[in-house]
Amino acid sequence: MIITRRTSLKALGAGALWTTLGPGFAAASVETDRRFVFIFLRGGMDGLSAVPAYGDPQFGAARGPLADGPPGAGTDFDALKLDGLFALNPDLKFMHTLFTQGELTVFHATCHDYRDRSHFDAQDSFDRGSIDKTVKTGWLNRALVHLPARWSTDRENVALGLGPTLPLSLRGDAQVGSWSPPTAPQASADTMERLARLYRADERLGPLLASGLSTESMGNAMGGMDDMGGKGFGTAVDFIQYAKAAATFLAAADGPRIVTIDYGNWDSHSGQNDRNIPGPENGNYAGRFPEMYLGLDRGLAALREGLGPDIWSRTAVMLVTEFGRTVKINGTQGTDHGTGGAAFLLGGAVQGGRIIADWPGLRDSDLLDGRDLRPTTDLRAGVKGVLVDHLGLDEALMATAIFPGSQDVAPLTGLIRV
Amino acid sequence: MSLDRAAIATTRFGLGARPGEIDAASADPKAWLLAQLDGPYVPPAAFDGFASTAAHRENYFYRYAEIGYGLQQAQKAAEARGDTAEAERLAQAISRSLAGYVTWVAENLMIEYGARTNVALTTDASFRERLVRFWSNHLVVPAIKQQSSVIAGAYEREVIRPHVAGRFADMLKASAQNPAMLVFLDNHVSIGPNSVYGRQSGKGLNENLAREILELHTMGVEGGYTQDDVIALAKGITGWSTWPVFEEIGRLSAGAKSRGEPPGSFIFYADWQEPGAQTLLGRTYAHTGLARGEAMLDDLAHRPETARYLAFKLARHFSADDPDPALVRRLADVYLAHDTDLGEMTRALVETEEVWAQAGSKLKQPDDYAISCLRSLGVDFGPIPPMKLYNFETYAWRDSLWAWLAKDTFNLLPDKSPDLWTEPYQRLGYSIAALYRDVAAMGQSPLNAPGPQGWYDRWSDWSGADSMLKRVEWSLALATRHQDKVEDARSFLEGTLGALASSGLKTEVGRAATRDQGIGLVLAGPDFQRR
Repeated sequence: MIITRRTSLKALGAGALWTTLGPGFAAASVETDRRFVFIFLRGGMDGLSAVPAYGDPQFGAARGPLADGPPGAGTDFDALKLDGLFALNPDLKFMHTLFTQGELTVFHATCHDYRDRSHFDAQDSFDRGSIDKTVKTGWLNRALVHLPARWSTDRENVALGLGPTLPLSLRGDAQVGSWSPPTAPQASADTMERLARLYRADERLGPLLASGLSTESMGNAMGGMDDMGGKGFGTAVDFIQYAKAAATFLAAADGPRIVTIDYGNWDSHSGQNDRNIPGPENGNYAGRFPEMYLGLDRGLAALREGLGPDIWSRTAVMLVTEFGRTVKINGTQGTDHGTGGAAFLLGGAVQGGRIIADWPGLRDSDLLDGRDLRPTTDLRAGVKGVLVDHLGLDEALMATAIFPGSQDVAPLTGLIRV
Repeated sequence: MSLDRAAIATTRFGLGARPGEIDAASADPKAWLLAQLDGPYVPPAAFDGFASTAAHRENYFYRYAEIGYGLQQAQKAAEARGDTAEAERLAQAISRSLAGYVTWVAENLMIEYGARTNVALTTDASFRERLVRFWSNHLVVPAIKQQSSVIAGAYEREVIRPHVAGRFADMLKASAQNPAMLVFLDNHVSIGPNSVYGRQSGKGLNENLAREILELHTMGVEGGYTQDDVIALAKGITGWSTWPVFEEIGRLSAGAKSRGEPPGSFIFYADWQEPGAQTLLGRTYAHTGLARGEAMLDDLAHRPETARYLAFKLARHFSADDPDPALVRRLADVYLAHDTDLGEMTRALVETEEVWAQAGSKLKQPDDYAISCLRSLGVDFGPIPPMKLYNFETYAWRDSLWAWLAKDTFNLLPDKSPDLWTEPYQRLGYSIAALYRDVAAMGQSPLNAPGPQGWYDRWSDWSGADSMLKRVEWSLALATRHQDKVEDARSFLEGTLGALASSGLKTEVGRAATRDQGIGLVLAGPDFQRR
């Protein structure tokens, strides 16, 4: 199968082929052996549900029935203790283990610089790395443009977007790959060659097909992707599958070193903490949000397992969302669009076991506009810290090329074990 | 000349030429388009017998409540009196009923998708059908929630189709008063905190629908409204709901059918309405009852920000990713001058030469691409039986549907058997479900946009490397399986792309070694990806 693709790749004039795979190729330098996974939790993950602040005297009153049992309470769903103030959602057991092992850092009361409450504007702002809509490319793509040269050695795409569409963060001048599970039988080499001639003449579409073919042949050559034929409705299931695929790609000797995954549907306006209790009240949600956390936790566990201990020790995974949600419950047992929320940085390369938060409090007078958790830590400081210390980018680029206009936001240091 | 324009009319404005369509449009391509906007709305026959939103809601809640809630109460009672055997039997009945319903929901979505696709594949008015899809995406109800999934198809029939050449004010009102939209964006349970029922129950506002009406349906995110306006509109439409809602399950089971309204339809609960005048965008609305929210929506539809936002989106879809501001202004002016008439705005679009001249500037979205491929071959699913409503008593609905769904209509059954991940699709059979799966793999799951913003509409939103590969592989397989529909690949190219085919494509198709290769080069090639 790989042979047919090689032929068509040549016809397309694609770059390096994913043909020589194996341990012999893995002798690159330590720096290029680092891995970075960026996961965007789209829809506005509720920070106070992911990382509840049980130690805050206002928490119980603010959250009422949306709060799970406090750590050690002995309910079916006790939150998992982090420190005297914070805990993790009861469904994030693997992440809790990482925290106790010093491989998970939690950011709380955090947000980027977007302050309105539109999902789509907020996501686009984060993806662009700027609230300025005239910026047309993504922050991560611009980071690729400035990556130290050692990163791109012997690989066609240093970054790969997992999913049927490429997130805005990865769009721009640097070439990137994208991948989703195969669905159709492969066409004959002869037809592909003829088609390649047509596409080669097409400036806009030609490079896309060349890149798609190249990544697909890599997936084929590696095997292990056979159980991924098609996309289900359940985004939790999708996320676990994509996390497994991410591990496979990142573990390949000449595979990508940076992978993005989108994990959507966090918009919990109603029935936010409904668990699987059969009945008409819950039939419509059936534990939808607890499932989101379970999927997140299991996907991350699958990622570590797939990478293996050696690569995991050189991996950092950043998880962000576009904004947090209102502190108080709305009229429908959910929460509405807010501002401050939670984010995570985890992996074997992470100096973890810490919570980075300048806690603003939950009294009415503490809240932003009387409703949202006040953001006190700029999330971009965390992302910058990872770009500088993990990917080796020049710090001077952070406030110019990567997050234009963010001079006031210094990169956080010490996030990565150096 | 008119042949060139006929190819543009069918490809850029329509959904891709069916066999013979370019010829049919060539006499007067512009008139061919404009005629599709005329005349009274006639529902497509393919939807005969399909259930309305009200019928689905009635089934979901009324029967669910009667049977599901009844079973649950009986189970609790059995537990209370220590009859564990009976409690266990009832628990199993509940879980069987739920599991059956979940499967039914998935099959219903496939039936709705199949019927909607069939209309797109067979219609002679494909420009109008593109407009249906465009406005459906504007006031979108995706299938992401189980409750809205059930009625996403019915919503399009009731709210979008009748109004694509009518007044936007009417479409907006129909949308905000349709159970599908109310349920999708949570307004059906938004209760004025100071209303009679709000004080009694302690329940409160949900601002979700109000925010999206302002941000996505009317003024746009840059329309200049504030958080206070969101709250004012949310209060303005408190009590806009559907009967019954789950807040009422208890009352319902106690025989609240006596309310007298047809179950499942839109209802205004006066005792949920937030009392007092509300100020929205500087205007005070002192009306009581349903009139308050309706006046707010009508004013929103007539605002210049709304006109600009709608005009921009329409121009982006038909003209270019970054449309000429003068075109946007002109369309917005027509909209406002004609009392929010979308037909008039669309006519102005068709009359604009620049929109014709930019043919090829848009990358087809995956659903659009798949439909244009299938139209070019003249294939469709054949008649699709309406979905029967789920029977909560017997957990049965299939009858003959099962065998029919399993038909390999497009002859695309994959060689290897589907694995665990695709198992739900295997149960659904191949034809409709597999097309759905394949289009989803290209990056767009039909009837299930990623959120209330709908699908984005720029080239860069659809130009992923993987998506392009999925398109190519799918259409090459399609060409192989359907080569019997085509006599000669060169005349096929002429009939489907006409004057829009590049000389390179003509050369390659002329040199093709086999018929299916020739068809494949047309469908999978770069020219066919554009409109």
